[in-house]
Amino acid sequence: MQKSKSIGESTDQVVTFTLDLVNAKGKKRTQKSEWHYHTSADDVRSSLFRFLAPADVKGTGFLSVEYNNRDDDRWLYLPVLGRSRRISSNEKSDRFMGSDFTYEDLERVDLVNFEYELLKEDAVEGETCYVVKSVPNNPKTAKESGYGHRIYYVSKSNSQFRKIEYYNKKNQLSKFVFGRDIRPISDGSVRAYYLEMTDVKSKHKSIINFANFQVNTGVSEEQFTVRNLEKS
Amino acid sequence: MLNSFLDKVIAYPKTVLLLIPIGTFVAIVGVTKIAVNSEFSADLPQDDPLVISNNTINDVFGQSSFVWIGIKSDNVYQKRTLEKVQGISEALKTIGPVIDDEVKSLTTINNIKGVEEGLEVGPYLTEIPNSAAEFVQLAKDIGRDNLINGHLVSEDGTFTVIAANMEEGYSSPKMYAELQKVKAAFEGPEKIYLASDFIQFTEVDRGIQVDAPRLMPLALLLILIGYFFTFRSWRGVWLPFSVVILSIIWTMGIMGWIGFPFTVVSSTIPVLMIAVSSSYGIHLLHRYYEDIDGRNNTEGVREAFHKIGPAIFMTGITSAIGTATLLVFKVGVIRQFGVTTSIGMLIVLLLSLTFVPAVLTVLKREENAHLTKGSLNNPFFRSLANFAINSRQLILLGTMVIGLISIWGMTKIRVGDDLAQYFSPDHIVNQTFDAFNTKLNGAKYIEIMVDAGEVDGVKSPAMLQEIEAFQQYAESLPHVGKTSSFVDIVKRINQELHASNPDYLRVPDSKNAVSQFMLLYALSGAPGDFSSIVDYDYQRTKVKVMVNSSKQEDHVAIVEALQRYEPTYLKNDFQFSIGGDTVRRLAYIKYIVEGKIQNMIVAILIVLLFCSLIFRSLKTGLITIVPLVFSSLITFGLMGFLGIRLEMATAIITAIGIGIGVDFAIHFIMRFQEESQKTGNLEQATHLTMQTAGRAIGFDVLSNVFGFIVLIYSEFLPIQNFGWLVSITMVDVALSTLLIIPAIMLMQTEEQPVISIQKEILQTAN
Repeated sequence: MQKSKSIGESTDQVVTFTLDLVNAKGKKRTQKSEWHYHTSADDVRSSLFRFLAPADVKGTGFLSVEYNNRDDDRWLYLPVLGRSRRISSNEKSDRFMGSDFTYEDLERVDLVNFEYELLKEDAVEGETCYVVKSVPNNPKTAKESGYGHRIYYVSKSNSQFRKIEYYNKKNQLSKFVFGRDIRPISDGSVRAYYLEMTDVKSKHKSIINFANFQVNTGVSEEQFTVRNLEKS
Repeated sequence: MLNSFLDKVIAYPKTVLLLIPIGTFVAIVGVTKIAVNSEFSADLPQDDPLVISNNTINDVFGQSSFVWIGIKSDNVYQKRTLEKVQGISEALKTIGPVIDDEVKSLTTINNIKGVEEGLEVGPYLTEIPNSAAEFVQLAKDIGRDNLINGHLVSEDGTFTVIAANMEEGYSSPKMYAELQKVKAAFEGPEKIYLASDFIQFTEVDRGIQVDAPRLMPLALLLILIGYFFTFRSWRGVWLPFSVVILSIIWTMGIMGWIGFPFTVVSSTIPVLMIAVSSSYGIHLLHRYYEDIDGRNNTEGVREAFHKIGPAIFMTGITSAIGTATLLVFKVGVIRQFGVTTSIGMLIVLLLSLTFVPAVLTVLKREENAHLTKGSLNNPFFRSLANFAINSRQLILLGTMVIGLISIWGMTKIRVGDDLAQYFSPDHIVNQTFDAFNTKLNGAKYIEIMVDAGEVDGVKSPAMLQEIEAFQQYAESLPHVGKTSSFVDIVKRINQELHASNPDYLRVPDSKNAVSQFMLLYALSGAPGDFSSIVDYDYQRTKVKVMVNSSKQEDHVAIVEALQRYEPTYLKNDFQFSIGGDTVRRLAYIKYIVEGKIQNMIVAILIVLLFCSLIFRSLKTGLITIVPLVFSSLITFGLMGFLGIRLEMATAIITAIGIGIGVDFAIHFIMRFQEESQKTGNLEQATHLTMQTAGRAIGFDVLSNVFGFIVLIYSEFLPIQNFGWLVSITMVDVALSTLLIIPAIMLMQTEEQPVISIQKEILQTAN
């Protein structure tokens, strides 16, 4: 597990992505954003999203700062108001931008908080994977998590997640995500350029297409302030 | 041909009697197959505009039905009441058909709050507060929340609602039972009310099921006593009664075999059969007692049945055809009723020509002192005949006057049901109506779906303002309470983003603002989604209009007023569809009225045609339908004057008029012709007819009315109405047959030619 890297794993990162929200009837809404990411020396993880499309939300900015031992800060800047607003943000299980991804899904996983168990080996879309079950190993993590446990399908060849299954606290499968289009990036590691999350009950899908991962380009910490957020 | 059939039956009575129990057994098997179905929602013609409108909404948002649980408390904002709100919300989620994420109550609903730096979206109550100060604050917050105050909580803080949606396909009785369990678990000291259309219907079914078994046996007993007074013999009681019972069982059996369900409408069939089949039994036995004089049993039976056979046959066929005309109704349950009663008439006919002669042949010969030829001198019927003979003009004048008054009464008829009227004022259904209507200004709602015509169209400020104007227009209409829509949410967000400044409780200025606000909302905590009020493309959105009347004519008025709305902000059309359960049920009214009128016309014409053919005289045919037409006028007129509404159940009552009206008329006319032909003297014929066929008719009506009058004492309005209508119909059909027909027939100056033609017919028929 330590070998595999998820999205937010580098020290800093800039990537553009589109997020498609597709409902059970096939209707689709698309957003395009630019995402700046930074991890500080004292392990504070900051994300700044700038909306590029659709036109009526262009220029909207979203800032999220995750701490280890206090609540996250989240701010939203709306061009139409000319000011940013703090967003109440206590739940990791909250949906991110109305998608099927929650904050918990997108944030970095702290390995120490989980028990990992290798179940078997299986193939996902033709690729052989280790099937690993992950369960919180302390009450705090268990309570904060929206899930009972997760099952990771880690590719044997490139240590990247091909599939993750999310089980709720009643042990029912609630979501699963496929990672596809795995390509190498500048620091030698690989990333999935395509993520597709499906909600089992509502049959709703969220699809993220990344373009252009740039890592470790020296993204500066000053970017991640409210003042910067308001400079559209 | 008829006579040879009858002769065969009389010759082999035991064979016939053996077949009867077999037939009954088959019928009983059929009865066990009958499924009860108190809902007939699939019934409406799919090209009806209201049905189409409702389907349009369902295609976009799915179809669901609502159920509301109301809690009345001295103060909603206290621990024990809020705990109940929470308890009930959670309990509802465990019930299968309830859609979990759409349960709305004080403990599940979100508060959109403007805080110093931003917007906070989260449940009002993550936990139930403990301190008095917190409750006071909660009351204040909710008091200022345009989305909740007056919608989920009454403005005076003493009534709150837990609102849930259920997926289609739920079983009403099961849901009813589950909800009663929830209510029982949480009742006291707060009062709990269950509100929903299906709950009202279930209460109606239960009302009928409770009352009918209570009253029907009593009614039947009284009818039997009536039979006894008719004949003063035991045979005169059990023989007609057997015909009644057998015909009911056989008819219901066939209903089961065909697969028709037992509905509120078809539950009247047994009662209808009693009224109709009594007549057959009484006429037959009457004739037997008449003709047994001076003959042995077999000859007596033969003579009686040869004489009365044609009348019986004709009445059976015409009644069957008459009730079959209910097929013109576009409502499925009424068509099924028509088919079933039609078959029922034929069954009574069959039993009259097989079971009755067979039984009478097998039994000992019995004379009846009251009905021998010599004793045909009942004073009442003698005076009736005299009246008909001597006061012809008066009768005909009276007919016209009463006819006109009835037509006037008809104009007062109200169409469509009013379930509140069904129950006594302190019945739980009315208590629920009252609670919801006074506290929240509505116990039902109408749904409107606005279509902006393009993706993201709902986000345009002009559209939002138009919807807001539409809401205000709706709220100005009579019987409309509050309305709610997506616009209210957008306005609230706008207000909260401007530090809760009420000046901002309005539509934002730009489409970008709306989109960005919705983005903010989506990012703010645990928003839930709007998929039940706005579609994915933000093209269509629902507006809910609360209604506080239970009368369908009020609903019709609201729908018509809404359809007249003219947009003020938009340059293009303001497109919307109207729907919801309350509206869908309005479609029935149109078909009941339409169907009723068509049915009456077709029935009258067909019966006229048929009788004219059989009697070979248009004049006689016209005379035959006089009681039918006249009694229908009186029945409708009285419905108007008495305030009995024309609705699903009462629309079919006049079918009884058709069945019996033709029956009495044919018996009377045919006997009259028989006697005129024998004596050549019309006045004597009138007397004799009155003493025989007239007496049979009179006692038949007396027995039935004696029994059905009991229903008036039901606590349940539909059953009371039934009692009234059946009794009124029978009496006015009888009177019009016994008075108007002789009056008309005696008016004819050229009696001879008419009589000789009838003579020919009777000879050919025999």
